[in-house]
Amino acid sequence: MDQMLTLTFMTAMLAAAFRFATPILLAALGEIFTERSGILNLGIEGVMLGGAFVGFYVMYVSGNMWLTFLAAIFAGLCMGGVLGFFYITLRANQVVVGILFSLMMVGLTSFLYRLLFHETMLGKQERLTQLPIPGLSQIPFLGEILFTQSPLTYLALLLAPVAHFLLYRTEFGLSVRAVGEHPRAADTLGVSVTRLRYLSVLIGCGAAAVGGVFFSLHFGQFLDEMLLGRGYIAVAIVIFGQWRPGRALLGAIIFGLVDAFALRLQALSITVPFQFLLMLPYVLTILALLISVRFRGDVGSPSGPHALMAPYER
Amino acid sequence: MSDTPYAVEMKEIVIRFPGVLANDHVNFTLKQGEIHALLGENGAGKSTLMNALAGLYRPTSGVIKVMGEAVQFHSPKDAIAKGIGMVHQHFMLVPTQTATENILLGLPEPRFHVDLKRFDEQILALQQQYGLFVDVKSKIWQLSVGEQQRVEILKTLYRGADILILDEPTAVLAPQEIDELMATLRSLVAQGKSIIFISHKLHEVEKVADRITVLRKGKVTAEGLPIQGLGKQQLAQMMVGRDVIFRVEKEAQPAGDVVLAVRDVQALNKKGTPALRGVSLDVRSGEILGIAGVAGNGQSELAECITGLRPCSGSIRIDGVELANAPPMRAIKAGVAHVPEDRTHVGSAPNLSITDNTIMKQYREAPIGNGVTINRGHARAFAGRLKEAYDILAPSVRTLARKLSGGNLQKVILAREISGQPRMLVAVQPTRGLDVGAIESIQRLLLQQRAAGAAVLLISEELEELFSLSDRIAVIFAGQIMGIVEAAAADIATIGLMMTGTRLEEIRQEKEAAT
Repeated sequence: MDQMLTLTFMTAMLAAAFRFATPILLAALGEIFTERSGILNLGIEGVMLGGAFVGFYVMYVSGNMWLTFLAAIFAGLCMGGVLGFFYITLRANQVVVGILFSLMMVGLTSFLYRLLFHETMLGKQERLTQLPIPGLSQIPFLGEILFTQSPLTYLALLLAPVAHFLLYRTEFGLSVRAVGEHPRAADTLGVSVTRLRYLSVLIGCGAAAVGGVFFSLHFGQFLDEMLLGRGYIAVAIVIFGQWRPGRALLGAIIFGLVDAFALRLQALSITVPFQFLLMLPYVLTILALLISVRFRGDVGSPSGPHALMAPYER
Repeated sequence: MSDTPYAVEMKEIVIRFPGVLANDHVNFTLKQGEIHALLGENGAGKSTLMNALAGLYRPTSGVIKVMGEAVQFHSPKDAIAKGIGMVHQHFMLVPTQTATENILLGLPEPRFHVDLKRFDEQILALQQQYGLFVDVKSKIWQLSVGEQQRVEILKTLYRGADILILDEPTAVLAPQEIDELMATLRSLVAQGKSIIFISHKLHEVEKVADRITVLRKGKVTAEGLPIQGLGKQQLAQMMVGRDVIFRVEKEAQPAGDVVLAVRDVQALNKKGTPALRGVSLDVRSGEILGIAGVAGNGQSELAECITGLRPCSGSIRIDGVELANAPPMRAIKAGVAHVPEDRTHVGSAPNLSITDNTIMKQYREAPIGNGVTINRGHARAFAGRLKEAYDILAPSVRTLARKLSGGNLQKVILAREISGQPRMLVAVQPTRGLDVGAIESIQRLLLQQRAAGAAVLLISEELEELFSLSDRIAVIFAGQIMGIVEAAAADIATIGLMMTGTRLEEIRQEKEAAT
């Protein structure tokens, strides 16, 4: 046990926590907008998987990091368009469409993988490398944890305050929140509920796809089961965060920490069966959800925006 | 005068919904600088007509002119651009946002970044101009209903509206607040605005309007008549199409033993804040106790505590049996019947038939139920008998509850509750939103229960109703009873003062001091 208390162990674990938090944070920040507009997107798991696959393929073909991200975002927006069409235009049941979309993406990506790579199991590809920030990364302890990360981690951490500003300090955020709480009120003032909900779904899916890319680039390979429900965890983090970016950031870091902790414990030959350690982050998420309703944010009720999951008809 | 165009001119408006002709060649004119009342029963097509003027619906045919210019509205935005603002019956406010945020929503300015402080100040200036004061930084849910209405009016004024449509604006207000609103409307007209006032309350229309238009079943029965010289009876006849009795006859009868005894009951509301702070009252057999108060002062919670739907502290006894915190089943067994406030979701199951809705209490007992299965034949016969006895207008007992009009649905609920011959009837807003004819029959049913010796607790926001039905009236404010008066001896000013938080003793002391 004393191995755990060393400084090296702690720094490594905290750095890993931020790494693991990255994709969940990206997806959760996007999902906050989607849900604030009144749409629960459980297809987020499928969108992340799709983003991971497209990113992996483009990276394999082009080797260009920028192109990879653009392609993933584009794929995310396409998937968002499809989902939005079901959620908003067809007013379909959001839970059913979302879950089925996620299940479908598992099949679609593994099919495309075999089609494009002819069933050969590829070796590891080029991976997302760390980009230490000059100067800041030299700070003892903190430098290694916060400033020796991949660009995506920096991006995710920066997007949290950006999302907060967008949601609370702009006309766009005001409209999104209104559409999710009282769409008819927004409609009577000439705010297009349909337009804002599409935009919010697109934001959510774009962000989730980037979160997905993190997986394939981080591991340098693509597996259809590589997400392990991280998309659903992002949805849980949104609830834990009571639909606020700041608290979602906290939730993602806590999840990352437990994830990192569970992984390290396995390496430390502890007598607990490793399956239990793998369960740890998920068990914690359920517990966190139970207590989160005690800390209400500005959303009307602990169950979310008032018009969440309610299709709008004039 | 002939040169000034009408503020609004609607000609031959037809609005058709699938299966319903909501407006049938309706003509309506609004003069500049007048208050024009649009009168009619529920479902007469008033709101539909005005929603068309506000750009929410598109007329099937007909012409709308604003300030003499023909217009076609494709969305509310177009109507706003022509200076039309509507205050809807159910406020269109986002409860979790501040007054300022609600006012700014949907405007081209601010473009991206919202600097709330700057706009707070602008709105304060607007408040000064029109005398409509409300705390702009408060979230809507923290404001009283009257204040929320002011936010709604400010919202239209901030958008530069010259023509204001108010849909049933007094339905949710206390008497003093209604007077304030009337004063506001007059000052708005004095500053050049034109106002359409939708209502089905005759005495208010008489007080504030210059002219009236009456709708009945989608058709105009009186177009733009000057209000002077029209009697209440005449207005009512145009509205309903027949004579209406204004006072239901109530026999004098001595009250019996105490049935319901409530002592020092305290309870929290849905938000977890105190809603009842030590309520005590008695209701006797053969007596109607009316509860007056502005919505949200603990009335709903009181009804829920008595019927076992809300945990509370203190004591609630029916015929001496303690029922506080007992499950609803115990209350039902003790003879408590409940006509809840929300008749479509709490009082009935909208997607079930009349039969299923009427047997919701009887299904446990023979011959309808034997504890395991339900005898459909007996159930249908039971529902059929109630349909007949309570004059429920529906094609059959198989008709789904959601297809019934408000009045008929309320009759279904009352039939179910009353048919068990209750000891105690708790009725919350039993006539809200019903038309004049239905109100009459519901009120009659309540009086029948009184005559049969039941104790009735009537919670209502309609003072007229409370005065005509109750034997005694208790006024509730902020979860406390301000005082209980004999209905026959009560005056509206005293009740109004109690509704806004003055205790009966204080009012009496002041009166004594004055004399």
